[in-house]
Amino acid sequence: MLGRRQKREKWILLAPALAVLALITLIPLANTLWLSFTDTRISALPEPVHFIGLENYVYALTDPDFQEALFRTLYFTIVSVGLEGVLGVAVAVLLNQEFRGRTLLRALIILPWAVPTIVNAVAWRLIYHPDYGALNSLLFQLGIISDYRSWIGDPATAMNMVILADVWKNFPLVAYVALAALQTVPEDLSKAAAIEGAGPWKRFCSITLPWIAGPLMVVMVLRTIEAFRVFDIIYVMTGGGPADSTKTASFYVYQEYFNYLRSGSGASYAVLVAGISAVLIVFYYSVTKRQTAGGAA
Amino acid sequence: MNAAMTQDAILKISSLQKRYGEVNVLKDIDISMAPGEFLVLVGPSGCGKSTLLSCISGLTDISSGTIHIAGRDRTNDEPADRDIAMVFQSYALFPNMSVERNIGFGLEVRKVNEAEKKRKVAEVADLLKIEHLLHRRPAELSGGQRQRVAMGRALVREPKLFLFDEPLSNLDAKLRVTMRTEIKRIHQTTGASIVYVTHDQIEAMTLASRIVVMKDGVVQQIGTPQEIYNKPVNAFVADFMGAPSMNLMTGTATREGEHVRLQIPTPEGPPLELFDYGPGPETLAAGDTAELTIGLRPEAMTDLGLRSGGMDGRTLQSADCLLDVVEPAGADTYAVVQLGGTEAVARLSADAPVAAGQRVPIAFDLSKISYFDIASGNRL
Ligand SMILES: Nc1ncnc2c1ncn2[C@@H]1O[C@H](COP(=O)(O)OP(=O)(O)O)[C@@H](O)[C@H]1O
Ligand SMILES: [Mg+2]
Repeated sequence: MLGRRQKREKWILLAPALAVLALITLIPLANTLWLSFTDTRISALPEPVHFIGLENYVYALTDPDFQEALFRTLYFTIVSVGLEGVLGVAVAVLLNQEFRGRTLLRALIILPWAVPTIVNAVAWRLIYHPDYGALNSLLFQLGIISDYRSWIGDPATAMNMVILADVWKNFPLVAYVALAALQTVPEDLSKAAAIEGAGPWKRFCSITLPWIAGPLMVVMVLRTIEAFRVFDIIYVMTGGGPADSTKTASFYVYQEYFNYLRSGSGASYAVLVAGISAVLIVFYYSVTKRQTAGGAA
Repeated sequence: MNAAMTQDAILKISSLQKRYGEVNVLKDIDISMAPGEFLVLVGPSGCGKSTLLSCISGLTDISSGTIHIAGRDRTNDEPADRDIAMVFQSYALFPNMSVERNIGFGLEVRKVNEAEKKRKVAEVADLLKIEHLLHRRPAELSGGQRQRVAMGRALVREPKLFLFDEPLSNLDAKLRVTMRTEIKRIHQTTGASIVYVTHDQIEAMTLASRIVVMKDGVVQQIGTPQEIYNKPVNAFVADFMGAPSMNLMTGTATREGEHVRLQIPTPEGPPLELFDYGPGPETLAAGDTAELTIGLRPEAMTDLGLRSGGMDGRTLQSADCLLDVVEPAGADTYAVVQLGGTEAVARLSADAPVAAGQRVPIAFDLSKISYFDIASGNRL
C-alpha cells in the first residue's frame, strides 16, 4: 500500500508526462470532437461558429460516395494488412532457418521499409508505367500479357496495384517483429511436438503461431491503424483516381479540410475513420486474446 | 544381462559416432538394453549424454553406426516413427494448451478418436494424480506438477521406449527426491523401458537397473549400480560415482606370500601399513612392488575400532590416523585424513567422540578395496 505522501509523490512524478500527453493527444482529440459538431470553416476572417449537433455526421454517413470510400478503405486495409501478415510471417520463418548468407539477407529485407513512402510510391508508379514500366516489360516478355497495360490508369486494377506497392513496403516490418518473436520459441517445444508426431505444418499452427501471436498482434494492429488512414502512397500514385477507384476515406477528410475548407465537417470524417479503426482493433484483440490466453509464459 | 544381448533387445546401439564438424562428440557407443530395463546415462556435464539421447530419439542425425528399437532398424527414421516418447528438462509443455490437450497431443496428432483419447488421458492422469489439473494451463502449475504433466504426455501413447533428459534438474532438492520415487514407482507399475539421462550420480544409483557411465563421449562402464559402485573399471568412474567419492590414494603394493602389503604415505611420519588378503592387484607378481592408486570408499574407513575393538586383522584392520578436519553431517561424521597425497574421507558414526587434531584408530575394510594404474587410471 502506498502512503498518502507516496501517493502525492507519484502524481507529482507523473505530472509532466501526463501534461505532455494531454497537450499532444487529449486536447487535439477533444478539439476535433468539438469541431465535428460545429459548422466551423477555415477562413482568413473570423466567422461565427454554430453548434449544429450531429448534422455533419448525418451528412457524411448519408453521402453514398463516402460510404463507397469507406468500403474501399476497408478493402485496402484487409487485403494489404492480410497479405503483409502472411508474407511477413512466411519470410520470418525462412529467415529463422539456418543457411549461408542469412545475416545479409536479414539486413537486406528491411530495405523496402526504410524507403520513404513517397519514394516508394514514385518508384512503383514507374514500375507500373503504361509505356516503359518494368511490370509491363516483365509480363510481356514472359508471355503473360500481349499488350502493355495502364495498371494504375485502369479503375479495375488500380486499387490492387496500390495494395501491392503498400505490401512491398510494409511486410518487412511484420517480418522483423515475427522474426524477433520466432527467436524466442523454445527449441524444446518443437522437438517435443516432433516426437509426439506433429509434422511441420501442425507444429507451426499448434506451437509456433500461438507463441508469436502476441507480438504479431501488436504489429498487425499498428499496420491496421496505418492502413485504414492510408493517404500518402495513394495521393502520390493515383491521387485517388482513376474514376475515384482508389479514393479512400482519408481523401474525404483532406478534401473537406483543404479543398472545401470545411473544418467542422472534415473533423466528423476524421472521427468516423478513427472510430472504425478502433472497432477493427477491438476485433483483433478479441480474436488473438482467445488464441494466446496463458501463452508465451 | 543376457537378455540384452539377444535379438529382443528393446534398444541396441552399435558403433554409434556423432561428429559436429571436427569435434567427435560421441565415440563408438555400443549399448544394448533389455525390455523393462531402467538404463541411466550418467556423466559430467558436456560428456555427450543429451546428444546420445537426441540421437536415439532421431532429433539428431548420427554420423555413423546403427540404432535398433524393439528389433527394428530405426537409424534413419523420423522421431515420430520411432515409437518413443521423451521428457525434457524444460518439460516442453505447450503453453497455449490445457494440461488435458498437452497430454493428449500425441493422440490428437495421430487422429485417435475423442472417446478413446479421453479415456487414455484420464488413465494417466489417475496414475500421476493430476486429474484436478486437467483444465489448467502449464503456466498455472508448479514445477512438480509440470513434471507430472510432461510424464503424462509421454506415458499416454504407450511407446516402446521412454527417454528422459535430466527431468528433475529444475526442481528443488526436496521435490527432486519425491519425484525420483514417483518415477521409480511408475517404472515398477508400468514395466516401461526407460533411458534416463542425469549428471547426478545419486539419481543414477537410486533409479537404475543398469548404469552407463560416460566421459568425453566415451562409455566408461556399463553395469548394475552395485557393479559400478563396488568394481569401478577406472579411477574416473570410482571418483564420479558415490558421495563423498572414493578415496584415491597413491601408495605402494608388494605381494608377499598370501597377502599384499600396502604402504600409504602420511605427511606426519611413517607410512600407513595395511595387508590385503584378497586377490590384490591382478598384475602384481609374487615379490614385486609397484606404485599404484589405492581406492577405498569412505564407508570402508570407519570408527568401528573405537567402539568394538573387534578387528579380525584380515578384512578389517585398524591403524591410527591423524584427523585433519571433522565434519558432522547428521547421520554420520566425516573425518578428513591426509593419506597418500589426498584428503581421504573417513565415515565415522555420528556420535564418535573425536575432534580435529586427534590421533584415533581407524578401521579399514579391505574387502572392497580397488586398485588403479597411476598412469592410465584403469582398474588393476
Ligand atoms: N549442435 C551442436 N553443435 C556443436 N557442438 C555441440 C552441439 N550440441 C552439443 N555439442 C557439444 O557436444 C558435447 C556434448 O553435449 P551434450 O550432449 O549436451 O552434453 P551433456 O548432455 O552430457 O551435458 C558438448 O561438448 C557440446 O558442446
Ligand atoms: Mg544435457
